[in-house]
Amino acid sequence: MRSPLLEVSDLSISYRGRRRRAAATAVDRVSLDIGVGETVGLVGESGSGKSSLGNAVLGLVPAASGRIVFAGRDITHLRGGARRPLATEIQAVFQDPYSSLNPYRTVGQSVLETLTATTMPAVERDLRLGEMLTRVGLDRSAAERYPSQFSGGQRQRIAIARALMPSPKLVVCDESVSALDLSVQAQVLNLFVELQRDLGVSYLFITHDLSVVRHVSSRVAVLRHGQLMEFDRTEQVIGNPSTAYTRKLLAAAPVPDVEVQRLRRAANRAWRALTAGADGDRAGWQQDIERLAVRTGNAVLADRLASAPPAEAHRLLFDAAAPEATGDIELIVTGDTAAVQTLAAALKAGDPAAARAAHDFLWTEGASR
Amino acid sequence: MILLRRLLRQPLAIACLAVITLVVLACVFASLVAPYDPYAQDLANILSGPSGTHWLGTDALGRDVLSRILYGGRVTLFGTLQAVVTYVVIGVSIGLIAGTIGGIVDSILMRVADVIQSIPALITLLVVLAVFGRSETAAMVSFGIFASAGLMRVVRGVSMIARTEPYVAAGTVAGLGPFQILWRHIRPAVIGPVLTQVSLFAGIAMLVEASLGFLNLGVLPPAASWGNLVSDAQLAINRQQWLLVPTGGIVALMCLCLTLLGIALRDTYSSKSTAGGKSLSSWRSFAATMRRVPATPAAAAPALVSEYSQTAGREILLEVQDLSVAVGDLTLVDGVSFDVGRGETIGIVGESGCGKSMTVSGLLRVPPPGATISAARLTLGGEDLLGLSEQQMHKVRGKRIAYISQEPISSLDPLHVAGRQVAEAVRAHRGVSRSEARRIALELLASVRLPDPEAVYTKYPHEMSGGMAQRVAIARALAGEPELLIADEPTTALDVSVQAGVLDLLVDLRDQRGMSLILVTHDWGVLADVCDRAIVMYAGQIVEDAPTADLIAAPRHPYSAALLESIPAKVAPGVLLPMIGGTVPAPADWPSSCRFAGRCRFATDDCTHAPIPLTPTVTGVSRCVHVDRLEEKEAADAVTTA
Repeated sequence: MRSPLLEVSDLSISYRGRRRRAAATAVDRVSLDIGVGETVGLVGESGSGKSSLGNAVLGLVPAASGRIVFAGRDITHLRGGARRPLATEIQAVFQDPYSSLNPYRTVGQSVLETLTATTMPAVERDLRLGEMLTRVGLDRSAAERYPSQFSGGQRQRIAIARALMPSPKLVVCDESVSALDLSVQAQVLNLFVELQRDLGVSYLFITHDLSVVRHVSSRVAVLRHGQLMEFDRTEQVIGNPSTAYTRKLLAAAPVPDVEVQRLRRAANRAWRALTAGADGDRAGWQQDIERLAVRTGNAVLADRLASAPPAEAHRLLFDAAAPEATGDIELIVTGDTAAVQTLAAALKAGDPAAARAAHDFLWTEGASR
Repeated sequence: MILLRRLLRQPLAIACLAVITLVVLACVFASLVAPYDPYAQDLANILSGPSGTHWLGTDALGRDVLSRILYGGRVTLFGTLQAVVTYVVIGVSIGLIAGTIGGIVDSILMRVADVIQSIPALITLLVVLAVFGRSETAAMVSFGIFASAGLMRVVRGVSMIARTEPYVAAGTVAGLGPFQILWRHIRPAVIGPVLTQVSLFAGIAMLVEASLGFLNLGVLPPAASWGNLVSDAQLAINRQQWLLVPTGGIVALMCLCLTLLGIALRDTYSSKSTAGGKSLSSWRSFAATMRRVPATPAAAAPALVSEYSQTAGREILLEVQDLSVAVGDLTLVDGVSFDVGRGETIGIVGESGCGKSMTVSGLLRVPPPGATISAARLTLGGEDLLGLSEQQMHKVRGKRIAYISQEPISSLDPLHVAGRQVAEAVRAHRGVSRSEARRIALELLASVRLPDPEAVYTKYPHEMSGGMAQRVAIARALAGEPELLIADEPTTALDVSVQAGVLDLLVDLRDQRGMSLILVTHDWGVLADVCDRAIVMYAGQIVEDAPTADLIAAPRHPYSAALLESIPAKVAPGVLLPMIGGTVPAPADWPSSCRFAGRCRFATDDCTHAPIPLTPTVTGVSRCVHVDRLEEKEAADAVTTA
């Protein structure tokens, strides 16, 4: 295999504590790499450190430890003037199309900004500006206008034109399509894909949206609390995730399919009935008891549950809910929540030990939620 | 420069600028403009009022007041200028250094500013005058220094905010050096606030200069300054009251103009940052103009009532017929009709700018200022909402119809703990005692599955995560035991796992309380998850209304179909997404015929002739003349995939 374009190894980033707060680790020993002309997706929820990682690659935040190697060169600690020539090789498209363009400068001024570090003659610059604007689907005359005269999608096109002006090798896309409406998101995603085909640029695609990542990237890295959960080919991560966290992330994002969502909802219900005793969800637990008592018509059980200590009540509830839950679980055997499937199989097979194990697995998952 | 261009759109600002320019020019060129020598005495004509020869009259020595004001202005304006220049140079430079470097430098400079601000300026000025022997320059420069601490803070604050803007990060990534960042990105952000401050300060500096003159601490008579002219007028007040009018008037006029100009400048640049904010709560204070319109035949026709709404035993809670919301000439929501049954969840989908939120604001009667809401029918559980007075409607909102917004944290009052906000809503809607309200509030917090209601009760909004705040907002919405809960993009700002919890909660609450739910969303996944029926909106109109499963499996409007196709989850990776060209047109550009025709692949001439009515489909309604072609295409697709 050829050497990758970008190689991040054991990277840690921490933010200085403000006032009396302790320093926070945003990224914790993460390693990943991006090949030439490849798109790597970086997914995670807010606070997972995905943007910090992108900012470290862009040189906007310092790395606490670890290395960032770009095209064979260590760029981890490049700052100021030494970093500036890299501007033509690594570029960025940020999330908010409204604040990522200076409202006081014309589109042309903003787009040309990325050529500041080059020595390109003015005539050539203007020529390239016109070409680039048409390439991203805007009119040349856009250069004279101000960002406020453009819609969100158009502004994101302008941001893309700005990033691609110096023909960079890598573009860090930090939630670049998250703020856009569906039809505009499709336009911008297509633009990213086409530009990659034509120019061979690599993308580090940071997003919280798994369906977007699935669409554009060949490999995906999943971050959680600054730690790398998995990093593998996209089909692998999405189709057969190796960690419970990724599975949960996938199951949590609703898909536009009524049938699938009904199954998932049933799975959640079963899950909740089974894990209702988990500490910290006492309110939900009590409601489940009430509902269970109503459903089973078992007032004695409800009384016992109400007076039992949580751990004991939890077990009683599980035992009582299991037959109920089986009905729901039947529904989801065709679904994709692996953990619940295991439990369903165990319950069907009448294997108490396996059911207990599966349940405990679910319980810990539920508790860590 | 944008700022100047925008400024010149305000008539008041133009007037102020004109007055200031005129006065300044007249004073500068006093030797050319003034009709008399300022020292020339006309003892035969003392203390005359305004006349043909002396427009503004004469003073106690018969000197022409107009000429003296013009020459005196040179002194006063020059003094003002000295103060302003000092103020700007020191304030801007130190403010920028503190704001852009930050850290320890910032801390030290701001402590220095604290010290400067704590010195009593006027007393120190008197000392300065004593030490420098009546030097105007020394006095005005010192005044500029004292005042500059305020400007430092402003500049520091603005540049600190500007420094964190994404476009500054983009500039850094583009390879700009620190000075290029300062010049290109920080300067434009700072210039507006600085101009405002300068304008306001110039007024104050002028007053200070005039005061010094009035106290005879500035230039000495017979030389004129605006201050000692007022002083002269005051001495002659028993003989000629008129004299105070022009001398005091010019100072007042200039100060007024400078202050108004400062305010206009502030409006000019702050309109940039606040434009486009749309929160229902900020509209609350405006009562809407309500209008009842006769039902159009289409809306009343039974054909429109889809099969779904005729389901036996379905009890209708909310009925909306021909609801329109207009601001001025622009109709933002155009003839929306639908109904919501008890215990049902209706989704409203569409892209931004299609009127989803505006429809909700119409239902709640809280539209943007100046809007007119019209409808043929708007009833909740049989009660006519259109005929209610604003006061009566106020009781319906929150009590019978509750609302939760997209921004959970900002929808809560930052100054009060969560529990108190819920308890207050309980008191407002149920009229119970304080302790009872507290008990109910704790119950509500528990019912939205907050792990430790007692602890959450005492938390401030800034101490909560987004999911927690949204749960508190839901608890507050439940305070009035509403029959209908309207949730406007309730989970858009939340992480997916948090979103799943909040949606679960909404569904359970709906089932337990028999509440109806209107969910505004742009996420088809959320729609599929919780909504029984969905309304698709495009450019202010309903284009399709159908049960969610049917809508997603077999959309009957090209817009719904195209939106569904462009969801990345449904397309093979790497393949270009099918997309709709262009964007949603602005309300001013909405045609009377099909509004989607310009972006539609099925569009023909039929689409652009006349308004397209909603027509029934198998399970819903669609606003398209090509429904049959969509069906054909679907059949063809089914064959190819089989």
